[in-house]
Amino acid sequence: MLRYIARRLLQIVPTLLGISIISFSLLYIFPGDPAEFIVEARYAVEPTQEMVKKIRMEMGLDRPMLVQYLDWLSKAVRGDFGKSWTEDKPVMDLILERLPASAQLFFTTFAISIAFAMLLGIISAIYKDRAVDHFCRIFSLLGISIPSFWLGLILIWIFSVQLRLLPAFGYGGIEHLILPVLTWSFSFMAIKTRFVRSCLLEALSQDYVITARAKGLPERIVVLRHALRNALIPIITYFSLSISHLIVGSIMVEVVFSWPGLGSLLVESVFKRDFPVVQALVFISGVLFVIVNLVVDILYAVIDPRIRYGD
Amino acid sequence: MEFAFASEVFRSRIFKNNLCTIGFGIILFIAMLGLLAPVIADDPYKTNLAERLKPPSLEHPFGTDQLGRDLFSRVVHGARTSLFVAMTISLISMAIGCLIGAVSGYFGGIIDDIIGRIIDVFLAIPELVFNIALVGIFCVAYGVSTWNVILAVVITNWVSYARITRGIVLSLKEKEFVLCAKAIGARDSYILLRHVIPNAIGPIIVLATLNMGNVIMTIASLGFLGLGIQPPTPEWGQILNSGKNYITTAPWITFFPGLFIALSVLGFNLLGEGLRDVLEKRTLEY
Amino acid sequence: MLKIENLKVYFKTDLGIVKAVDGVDLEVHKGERFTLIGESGSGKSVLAISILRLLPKNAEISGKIVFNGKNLLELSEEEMRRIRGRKIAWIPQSQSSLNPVLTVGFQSAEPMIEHLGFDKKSAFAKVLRIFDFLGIGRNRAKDYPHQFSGGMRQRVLVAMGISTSPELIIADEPTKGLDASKRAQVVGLFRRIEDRTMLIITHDLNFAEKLADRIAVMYCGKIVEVSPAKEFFNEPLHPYSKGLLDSLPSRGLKPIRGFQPSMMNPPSGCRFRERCEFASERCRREPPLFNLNGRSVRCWLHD
Repeated sequence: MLRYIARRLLQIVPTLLGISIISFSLLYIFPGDPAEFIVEARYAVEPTQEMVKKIRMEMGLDRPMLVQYLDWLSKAVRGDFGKSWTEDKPVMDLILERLPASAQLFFTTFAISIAFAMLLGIISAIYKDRAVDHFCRIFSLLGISIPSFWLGLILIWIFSVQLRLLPAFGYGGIEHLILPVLTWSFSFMAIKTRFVRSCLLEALSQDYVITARAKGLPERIVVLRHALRNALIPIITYFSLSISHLIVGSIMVEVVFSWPGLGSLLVESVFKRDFPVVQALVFISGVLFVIVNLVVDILYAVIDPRIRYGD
Repeated sequence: MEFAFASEVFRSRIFKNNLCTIGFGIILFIAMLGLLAPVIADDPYKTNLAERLKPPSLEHPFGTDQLGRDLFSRVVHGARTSLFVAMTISLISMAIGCLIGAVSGYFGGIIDDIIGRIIDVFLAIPELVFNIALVGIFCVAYGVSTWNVILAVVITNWVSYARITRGIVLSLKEKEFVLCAKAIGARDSYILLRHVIPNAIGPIIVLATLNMGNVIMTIASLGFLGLGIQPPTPEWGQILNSGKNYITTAPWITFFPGLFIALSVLGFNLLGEGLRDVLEKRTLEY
Repeated sequence: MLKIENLKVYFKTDLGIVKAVDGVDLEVHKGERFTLIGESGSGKSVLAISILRLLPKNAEISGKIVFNGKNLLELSEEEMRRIRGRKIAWIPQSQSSLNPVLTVGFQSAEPMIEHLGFDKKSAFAKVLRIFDFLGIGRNRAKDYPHQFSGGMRQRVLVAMGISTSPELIIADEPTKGLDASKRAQVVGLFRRIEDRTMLIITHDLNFAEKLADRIAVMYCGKIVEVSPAKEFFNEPLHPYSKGLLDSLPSRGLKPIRGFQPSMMNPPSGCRFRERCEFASERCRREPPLFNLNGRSVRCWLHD
């Protein structure tokens, strides 16, 4: 087990390095002098020779590329992404300010989506090819096809403009949370519903399900205890993987509802040309994905008895 | 002979499959609207401030926008933009992705290790985050243009093609008939043409169809954020973006372009799922 | 105890109708070990699973399966459920028939909890006794199936089957996938529970010889011979039975010529005639099941 974890840890090192290289080089893939952009972004004036020189010295932009990269990386792993170009604050502070809003939106959506995905997935597997199943299939096809920003605006139009029941934007109370969560859940649960269905169907086609039925167990127990328990292993894995959407999975929803989360921060920073923030968000979201994958892999090994007792 | 028979079977299966038929119908409908746009719709650029924010009527079936432009012609011309840009992106990423994936899987060794790592890295960074960052930077660097969108999306989009092609090539490499062909001294290019491409074509068609839906969604998302194809060129996401400010007074500006995004993405998803059912039927049903 | 009359099981598939069981009559008496033999694909497993009514949804079943005077095909699903695992137990093939995420002890206890009203604790206590009896070892009850060898899994499945003291046990290919020494152990295992009525499905003739009281031979969806085991192995009546025995290594390793016909359109008349060395003109007509002092055979040679 420990050797397995160690091997997986070694495997992610090149991927993490790759993510850091890409994030770092985002600032250097275009022709031109970043120092000039910083002057423009920070002071909103035509950069003079002197100012550019000063910034270049201050930011260490005159050093060789490799040195700059290593410097950036060694700070980034400690959570230091430098200073914002437009505000007099460290990048990390800007991100931490927005994190709670994103987390609130994500975890509410996550909980609701999982509950409904399990319910609908199990129902459509049991009633495969019947009306309910077709309904669920259409429902999830719509979920992945309808743009969340459009759905969000339609919900605003219905619940805020016409019925005046819920606020169209803002952050704080439960009433602010309802529409964004509803919007995001619709697409969030779509593929998960299908995944639950196909995992359960796969489990239901196994020999041990015939054994269970031959024992005279009620169908409810056959499905829930024998089939679902096996299907749960891939399902939990898949659900946990979506935790990597925590940081910026909700960009479109946040923008529609002016939700003060990390997705909005990303878009605002692009418009303000505050590229260190953009760089940091690309880096963090990539690293989060890798780490969530790693943790889920290890968890998988822990919950599956076949791997737990490794033959 | 054998191939003709197989394609006959597939064709009848594809059209027997409801998902395929509906999806294909939707796509055909939107493509026709786009193609015929100059014939059936007015000039999408003509502003008329006297006719601002008019609700749908006989004259303007989808109403007019904040500049008094006919929304129907903007939405229909938007189909041209979306489909054209999405197709360009898909074709370029398919070409790049399949080539890289095939090379990686076929030659193996250190090349495969490196390409495999690169694919991992690109899969790790959330697509939309990466797209937004790239478009933002391209805009600063090269100025605003549709090519920014195309380039940014291609940079994230080739990966799925590379991954699937690599997987197929790797699994084929172990198959007896490829080993046989190698043993009798067939050239790499022959094996690639005769064995790899015919086997890879099915999954790649499915992927490309589903991918078209994704790309259309991405283009619309970028447009909605104001980072995509810029006005006055009509593009669905960008029309929605301008419509959101008028949601209380002119909801139709929001409604119709969104409906078309949803329809076209749905069309490609239906067709893709249906094709997958058909092409993978042999392995699923026994 | 169990009487099957004119049983037909047809599967509807994309390619046509597969007649897996096509008019089978047989009777299992109380206390005997009745063994159904035949090659894989002869329909014997389908026959067995249709007794429990656990066929896939695309199967069509007709005829009668009378168990203790009741036609199982007419029972409601709920009545049928109370027979499964309680009156009729099923011992499946060992490969993947155990649930990988439940302990073997719990899986063996389930029928008792469900049918006999045992609580978890007393059911588990009984499982431990059965595990001892079958040589599994009580300390292994908390283990998971993947920790067991094929032979051990077979024992667990037997434990699961006998735990409720069912009236009839149906065992499906108990020796499939086991090597020779393990097969001998399975014979020993089944001898331990020999006081029960059993319907054993197997293609393993050696296994059948060691255990069976009576033998039925199935070929291409039909029963071609039913004989007491001793007489069957001394003097098989049907040419196909002869062919099967002659193909054993101990009896000359002579394979039957030709291949088993397709179950979708089997030959008319006797289904074995295209492979039979005694075939003649009259075999074009379907032979009935002839009765010969306690044995029956479906062949014109015994008219």
